[in-house]
Amino acid sequence: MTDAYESAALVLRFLFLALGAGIFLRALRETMVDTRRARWLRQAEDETGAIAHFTVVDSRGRKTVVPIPREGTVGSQWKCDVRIGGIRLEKKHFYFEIIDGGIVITPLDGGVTPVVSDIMEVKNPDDGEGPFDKKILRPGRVFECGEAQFKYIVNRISVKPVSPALKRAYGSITGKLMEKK
Amino acid sequence: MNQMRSAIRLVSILLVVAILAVSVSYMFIIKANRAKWINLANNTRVQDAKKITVQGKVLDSAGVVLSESSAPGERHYISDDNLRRALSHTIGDQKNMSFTGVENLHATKLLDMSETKTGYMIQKLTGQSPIGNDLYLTISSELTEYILSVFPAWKSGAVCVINYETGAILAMLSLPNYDPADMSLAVQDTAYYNRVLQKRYAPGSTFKIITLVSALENLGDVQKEEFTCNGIWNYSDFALRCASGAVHGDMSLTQAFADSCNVTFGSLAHRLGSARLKTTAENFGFNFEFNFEDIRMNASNILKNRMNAEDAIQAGIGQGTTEVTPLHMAMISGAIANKGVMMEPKLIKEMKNAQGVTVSTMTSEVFKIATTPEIAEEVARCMYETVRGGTGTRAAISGYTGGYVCGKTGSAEWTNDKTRETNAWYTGFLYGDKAHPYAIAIVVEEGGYGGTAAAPMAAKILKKAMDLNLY
Amino acid sequence: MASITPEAYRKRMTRAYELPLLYMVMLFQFACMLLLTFRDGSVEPFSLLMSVCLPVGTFLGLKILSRLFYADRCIYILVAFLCSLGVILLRAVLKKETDASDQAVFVGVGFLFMLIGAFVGSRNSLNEKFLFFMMPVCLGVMCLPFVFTSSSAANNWVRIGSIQFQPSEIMKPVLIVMLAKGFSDKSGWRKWIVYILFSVLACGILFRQPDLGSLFIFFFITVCMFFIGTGNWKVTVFVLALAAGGVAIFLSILDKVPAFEYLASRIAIWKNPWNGEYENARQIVQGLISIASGGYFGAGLGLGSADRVAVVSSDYIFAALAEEFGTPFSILVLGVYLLILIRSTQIAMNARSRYHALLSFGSVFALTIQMLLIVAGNLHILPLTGVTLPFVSSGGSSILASMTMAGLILGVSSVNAEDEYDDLMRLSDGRWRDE
Repeated sequence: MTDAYESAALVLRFLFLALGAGIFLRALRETMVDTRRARWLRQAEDETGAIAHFTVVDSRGRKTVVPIPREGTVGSQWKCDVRIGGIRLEKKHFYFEIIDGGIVITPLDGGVTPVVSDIMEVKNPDDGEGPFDKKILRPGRVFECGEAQFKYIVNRISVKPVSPALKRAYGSITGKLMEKK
Repeated sequence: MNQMRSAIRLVSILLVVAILAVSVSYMFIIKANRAKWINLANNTRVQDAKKITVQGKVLDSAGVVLSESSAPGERHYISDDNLRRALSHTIGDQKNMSFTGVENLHATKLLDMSETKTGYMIQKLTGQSPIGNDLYLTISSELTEYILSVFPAWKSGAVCVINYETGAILAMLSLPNYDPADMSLAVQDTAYYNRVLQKRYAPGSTFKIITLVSALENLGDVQKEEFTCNGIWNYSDFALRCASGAVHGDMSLTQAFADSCNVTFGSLAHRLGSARLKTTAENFGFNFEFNFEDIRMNASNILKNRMNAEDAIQAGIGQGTTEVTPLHMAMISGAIANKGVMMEPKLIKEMKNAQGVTVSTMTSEVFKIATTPEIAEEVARCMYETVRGGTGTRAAISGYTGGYVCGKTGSAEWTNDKTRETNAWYTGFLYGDKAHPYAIAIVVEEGGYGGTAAAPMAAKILKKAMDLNLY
Repeated sequence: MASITPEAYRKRMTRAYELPLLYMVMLFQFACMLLLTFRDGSVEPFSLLMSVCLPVGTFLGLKILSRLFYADRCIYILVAFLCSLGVILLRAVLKKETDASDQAVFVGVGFLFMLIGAFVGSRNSLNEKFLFFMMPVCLGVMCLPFVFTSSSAANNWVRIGSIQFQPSEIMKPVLIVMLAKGFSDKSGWRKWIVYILFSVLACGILFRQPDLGSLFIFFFITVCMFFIGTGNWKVTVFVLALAAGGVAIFLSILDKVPAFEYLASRIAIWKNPWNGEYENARQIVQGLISIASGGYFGAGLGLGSADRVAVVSSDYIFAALAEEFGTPFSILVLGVYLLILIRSTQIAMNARSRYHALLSFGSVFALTIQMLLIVAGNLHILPLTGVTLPFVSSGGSSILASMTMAGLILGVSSVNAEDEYDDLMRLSDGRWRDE
């Protein structure tokens, strides 16, 4: 180890600490900006992430359109992802998940009443019979729940579009893979 | 999904708190322990630094050079044999045999291994060979040499003199000693041990200072009481006797203290009980791992494991499992002299860098508020009576009018072997003397009675300190 | 909606907003390695090569990553910073050049693993039958150390010829993927039991080896993912209490069971390493001295003596970091891990499906827990457990596993970004389609 190296190393310590601080602070600032943006987007929760909706008709015939994300719970508890005003629901009524080809409804136990919820059969019998627990409902199907009828409708953009930016970035294999999703 | 999100939020907050907790404790751990760890014997960086850096000088309070280097890796000490040996434990050595010497404990200061390394960096950049800092100690080498000359020959022991107002250590001596200039010489067993800081002795009657403070704090108007000593006190199946079969008869508390009556103080300790006596002792720094900047001192212990009545009585007269280091005893005396305020001991008066610029100076710090000024004054009065007409009359300094010589003797039993002598203790101070606020503690191992072996030494040493006008 | 304009959003998503961060990291890498080149007075080829390769590699890696995925570039840059920090430290502290060059190679391969992880993370889900098939395969791989024993006391390495790897490290991302799939399935108990059983068996193998650090991590990953997947805090608390009780009982009987004697001595060493009795305590003591020798700015790159600490390259790399660069710098590195945690939590929160949320958060949880364990061990807060500091410590398996987990996070962030873009397009009624 030479003297010159030692002097250089001693002096450069300050540079390294400055760079380390710079890296941390810059990343911190970016994180704060991104967090703020994410919170703004999530506050518009009603609409963001909604790729489909239920058309709910209650016992009195009133119609409501309820946007739904890709998966979540429907119920009256505040923690549920979808809450529907105007109809009576258990605390956690049912769980839905949108997959390729349709929606899967899973009944959940209610909060207080330990009885399986009352999701009933599919309306159109030519689609398969029996009480459903894991049936896949295609768009347009109707199912009953409590006093209301739920109709599952997919939003205008049913297949995930390949954003132009994405497409421009690569026309490669992965681009095609992304498309298939 | 929302439920999952709240769960994620919870766990992530726990993780964030954990990371922050680790970071904060990291900073605290380093801050508290850096000095201690860097100066450990197995830190090879110090050895490496000694090869390339010229160690700074160690000087005493008068500016006398005690040790210095002119090139990396070598060290010169004082040429006078006696003085060099007298200061051996204070200065330390180059072979890491001493744990408490300046050259060991403060090696990083002498080598300028600072936290920022800026001094070293500038020296490297300007092409100078690196030189460490000079340490000016609070020690007076002349006083230390004098102490060695009055200490009984062929005996082991420890002496230390402190300034009880500032906490500065004016002199430290531990025997047997060694020669730092020639470490290959054979030395006596335990020669590298600094008895002032590391050896814990049973304090014997000197502990009655604390018993007295405890009694004054807890037992109401105990000063007004009359005590009767029949020479022996039978407590359950154990007999407490006064030293050399003395029978003290009727006396006041002050007299009991001055005559060092075991029976009185044993019964006072019994009345206080282990808990209260222990609390008072802990107010004076017992059972505490000292973490001072300038020195490393072992903790003094009392009533740590068993606390029944018999233990209290033994502790009250400074026997049993009680143990104190001599410097701590000097600090205790100092606290009494200083209106109940115990100052932190300081060894380094000043640190100057290689260019002669003062980098740091000593600042006096309060270590503990041991007791109230009123009680301290009362105890000081008793200690004055000890020197005026009690067991410590030989500690009186003839012709001294600047203040009051106060003290307490002790003859501590340290073995069951009745053929061996007791350890002779003396601790005391000059009260009310603004120019010479000295406190002293002396232990002569197997020296016999404190009043005859240690007290006269104290008188001579303090007189010499006054002559040298140390502060 | 007025706070984000299409232009800003497009700029945000398609241009490299992270350029200043990237440049600072590249400058850091360049300066460190350039300095190290001249350490012995002559030009040292490896360091000189690295001073160019590290920054260029980081830059190219970012370009490749952005082409393939809409991943979180900030996380990538921070991960690249940590990886290069590892290479720099190994070069600066160790005398042998091969440690650093091996590490550099592993970092390069790790980038591929990161891409693989990103690909896996961006898929919607994995085929369940495939996972069920993989379970016994994985358990078998974890049992390999019993077959190919290696020299060290803790029996968790496999050495075949000149290749040496640690199955428990590689299993971590696999475990996370499996548990994410398992706990995102809302069909109930029966499915979960299978995955939990897999995890329990894995933990059992680790206990047998014994590799207690990895056991700790596997256990906590499973509990965490269970809690997040099911929201059943009662069972979680119960399991944690049970584990705590078990550990307490285990510690108290430690002296009596001869098979775990070394563990008892390890704990005794941790409690009091200062009295010089134990040879092995030297590692802790030297490590602490190393950290304390850092000071405010560090000892200087290459000027520290961290190589006195035993096994500094993997166990005590944090101490080496603190000595070479100083205490404030090492706290900033902890801050980098903190930022990765925060960003990945955001990604998990924004995920649109349970599987993705579990995948990303499970990965960052694993990385963070591992980092906490090793840093607390270095600082003498916890006993040393032999786990590695993610991205920085030397060790091929460690780097590859950590990069894979980072890749999973990046994959999920890519899916999130696409969804976000689509949302904004839909919310603005396709007004943004005017490209």
